[in-house]
Amino acid sequence: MKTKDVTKPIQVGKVFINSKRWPVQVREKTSLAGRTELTTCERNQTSACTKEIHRVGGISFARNYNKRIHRQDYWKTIGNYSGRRAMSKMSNPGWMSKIRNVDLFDLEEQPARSFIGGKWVTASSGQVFDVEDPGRSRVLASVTDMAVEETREAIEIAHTAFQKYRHSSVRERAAILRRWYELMLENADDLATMMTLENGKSLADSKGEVVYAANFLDWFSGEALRVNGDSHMASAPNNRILTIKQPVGVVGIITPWNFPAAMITRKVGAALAAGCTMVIRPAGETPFSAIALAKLAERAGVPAGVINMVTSDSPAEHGLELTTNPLVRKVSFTGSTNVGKILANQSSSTLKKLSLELGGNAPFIVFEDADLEKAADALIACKFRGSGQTCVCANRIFVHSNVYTPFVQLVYDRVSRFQLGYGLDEGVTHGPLVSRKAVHKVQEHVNDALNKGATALTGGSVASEMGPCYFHPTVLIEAKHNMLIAQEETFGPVCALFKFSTEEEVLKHANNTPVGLAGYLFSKDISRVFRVAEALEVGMVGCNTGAVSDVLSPFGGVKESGYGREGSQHGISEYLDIKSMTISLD
Amino acid sequence: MSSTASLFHRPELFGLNQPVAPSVVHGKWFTSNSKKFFSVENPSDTQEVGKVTDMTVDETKKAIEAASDAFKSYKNLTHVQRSELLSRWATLIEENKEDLVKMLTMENGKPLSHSDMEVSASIGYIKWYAGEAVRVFGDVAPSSLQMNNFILSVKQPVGISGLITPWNFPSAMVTRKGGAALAAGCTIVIMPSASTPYSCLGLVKLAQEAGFPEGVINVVTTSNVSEHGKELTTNPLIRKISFTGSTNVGKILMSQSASTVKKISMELGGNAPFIVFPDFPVDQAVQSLCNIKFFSAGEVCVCPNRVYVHKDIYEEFSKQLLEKVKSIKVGDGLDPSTGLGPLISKQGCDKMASHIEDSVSKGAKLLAGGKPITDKGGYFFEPTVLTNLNQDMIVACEETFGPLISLFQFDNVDQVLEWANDTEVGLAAYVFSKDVTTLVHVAKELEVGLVGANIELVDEPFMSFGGIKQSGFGKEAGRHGVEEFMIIKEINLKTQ
Repeated sequence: MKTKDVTKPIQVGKVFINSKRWPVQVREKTSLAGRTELTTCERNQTSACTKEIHRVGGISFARNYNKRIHRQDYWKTIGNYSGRRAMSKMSNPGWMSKIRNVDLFDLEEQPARSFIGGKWVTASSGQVFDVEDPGRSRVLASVTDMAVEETREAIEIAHTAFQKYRHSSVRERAAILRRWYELMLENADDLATMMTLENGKSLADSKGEVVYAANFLDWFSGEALRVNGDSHMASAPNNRILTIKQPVGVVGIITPWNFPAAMITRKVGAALAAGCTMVIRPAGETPFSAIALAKLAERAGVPAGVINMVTSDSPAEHGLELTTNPLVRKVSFTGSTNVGKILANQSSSTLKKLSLELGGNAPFIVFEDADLEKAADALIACKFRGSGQTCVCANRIFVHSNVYTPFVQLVYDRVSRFQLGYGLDEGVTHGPLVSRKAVHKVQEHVNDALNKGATALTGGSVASEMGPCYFHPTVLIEAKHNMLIAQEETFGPVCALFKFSTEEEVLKHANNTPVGLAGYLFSKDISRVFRVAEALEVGMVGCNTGAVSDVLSPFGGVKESGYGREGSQHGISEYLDIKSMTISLD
Repeated sequence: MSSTASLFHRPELFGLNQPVAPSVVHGKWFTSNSKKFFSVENPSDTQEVGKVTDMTVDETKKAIEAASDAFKSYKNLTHVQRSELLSRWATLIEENKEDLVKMLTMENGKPLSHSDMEVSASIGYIKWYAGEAVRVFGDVAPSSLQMNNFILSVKQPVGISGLITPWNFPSAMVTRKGGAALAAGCTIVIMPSASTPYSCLGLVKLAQEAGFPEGVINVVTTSNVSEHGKELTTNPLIRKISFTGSTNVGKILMSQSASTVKKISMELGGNAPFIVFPDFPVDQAVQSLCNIKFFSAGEVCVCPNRVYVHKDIYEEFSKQLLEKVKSIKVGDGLDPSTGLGPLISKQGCDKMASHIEDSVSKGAKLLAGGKPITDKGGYFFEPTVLTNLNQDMIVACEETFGPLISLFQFDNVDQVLEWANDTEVGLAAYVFSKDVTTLVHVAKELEVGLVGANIELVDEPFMSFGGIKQSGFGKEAGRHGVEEFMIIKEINLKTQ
């Protein structure tokens, strides 16, 4: 391709030096292919920075729009800097001291890299994106921003690796998964700390997730050994039918930020056990958990090319590649219903097998005969886990009118004991939301509810004194079905309590939503428990419990919450094809 | 301290740090109040490996009571907790493998490489059961009468289990049974063979270290297995008996168990046919035969006892087999170059000699071997090949349990199937053919529980192990292993 050099000065970013912003002028070279490369800097502008930086250390780039530069390239252009050793010395902001093994997150070098074909690589464009700590609204570090072509390469590498890995022994797969599980537990503290840093959730929540995530690897280590087919009698007397199960092929795995580790292991564990190879695209908000998992997978002995992990900040383009590339035979996605529909649509052109774990709008029903204390405890755990950012979080809390007031009191008492704060701080029970955008949506839902007659017993606003991503845990009473909060998932720490008087009425409202992931009901009456559990149009029901997530329980939704099941003895079948062999004895 | 103690990294695993090795009752080392003991000898040199405490029947009762007490809490551990205990046990066995392998060879005589395979199999079984522990699934069935009623079936541990294990696999039989029982939530009393109690003691000691609560695993060491077997099979606290051994003893244990209607698993003797069709490469079939026939000196219940070779390849097969057999090195199991160790005892040698004598007197020809080896000090027997055998000889109807290969000639499928099935027992069988129709047909028609089709049977925790006819009933390992230690409870639930 003919390249035309266009050299022009633009501002690509600002350098933070001890919180002071320094404008940096650089020039970029734009090729016709649309790539940008940094070539020069304005000496007079940057020399001051250079001195400062050498003096104070600890710097980071903030990005400006979509133009980002690789810090190392930047240093090459402005000074005599070369080599990575000096860089690692400089890039040691305070938060890193909380992490024992920074190499687990590829942090000894900047930017953190992707893992393709058994190698740690950076984007050939040199582009990076920044990962923010929502609790401090600061940049944690930057990560290489891979181009779509690089995802394509990763798919091809996975395809090549599949030809060999599909024939690996199941014992070998089981041993690798078990080692990976053990390595996760050995590194649980670092994994949890980083998860809190990039996601914001409290450290206790992060620790819980790390163990939950590791358990999937252990579970699928066992499942690898249990890929059983059947033998059947045939209609024709002299025929025999055997069924065998075979790995489906290369899998595209697209994971969200709300469970940065568990959503990866739940899919990857099953795919690995089944004998598939894969390309993982972790959320741009939380790539470090994914990077660490890839590092541990490498140490556990996953063969090169079997797990490829591509970091990028442009989900749509990469998602398009994963869902349309003919080498990919299966896509597993956890995320919003809207994105799920786009991916399903894109996958249709090559008829890929799909697993979609999409949004929910979970009803949480408290009948008058319920143990109210137990129900309130369960609600707190279920509604406010990850500050309300889980797809199985209760979204609509229906309380029988006879127990509405005492139940509201119990909930209020519990919420008022919350300790909102920075996830890593001791005693903090609830952290910030993942982004300003998330806060905006929660505020919108709360404002709508308040405008339509709800009352906020507590919370209802942004905790701006802590930072832009913090939202006060909120209890709304007198919620109505015409409110936004009744119709779509809030994904935030807002507990909206609706009143109902009959079972029939509450079931009608509970099911009056296009999605159906989780549902919860509290009642001591066995007949009612079964009646309501069966009638709820959801994939998972918590009966007198607020916890439905368990490695051993099939996870998944119905309606527009998607299809496919993860975990349990059903999880691995999502990654297997059944082949039947009819053998004639004639 | 026993003189053999110095051979081990951790002699205390086997109680070799004490003059008489104690048993394990209620989580503690237990020495019989009778002060009696019995000697365990190494069949390679007939020297004493060590002395083991000889428990009284009353003490066995105590062990059963200890298991009964422990069951009350052990059954309530979560499946995940049991799974984790088993995983830890497997890890500890891996860490102490060298000692366990060496002890296995010393008390049983099998070569180190075979012991290594057996202890690896033990690890495989326990890991398998660690996975099975968390996969105890019941069913939910709709009622046929009422749409809104359900029938839930839940699985629960059967209770205190008596495990009676043989000397030919002193390690793998303990773990194949014990792992299943522990995964299910049962507490156990193990009675190992008096010839080979040390492997069991070592495994149980490691289980204690893995964290199994006191009383969950108890061991009865005794030289009087029939008396103690009677206690295990008649004590009302015991709800399940799992036995591996001879068909004769199995029948006795079964009749004793009848009085308290215990659930039983019986893995008894076999008389495995090994059928080679002419379309199969002779060298591969010979290799498979030698692999399985000389494993553990042929003292294996799935060992081929009758080798049926098609007449078209009979000559060639005998020739190649003879070459292989001549190359086998007989010697002390501890010598790494040994391919065939001693038999377990003098009786083992006598039985093999009587089988040979019977065959020869009825017209069989001795191609190789045929005599005990007396100059090595132990219970060695020459690897032996007999030809021109027929269905009237003892070897055709009774398990030899030694390094004897008996070659029969056959003509067609129907004939060989008739011969193969002409026996009271039915554990394992082997069929070698490249023709898929023959292979599937013969595999289907053979009256056995296990078929090796173009392959010898190898340790495979995924395989549900067990026989039919008088080889017993019940399955070990595989998908059905844990079920043997569980009961199914049906809950018919009215929801409206």
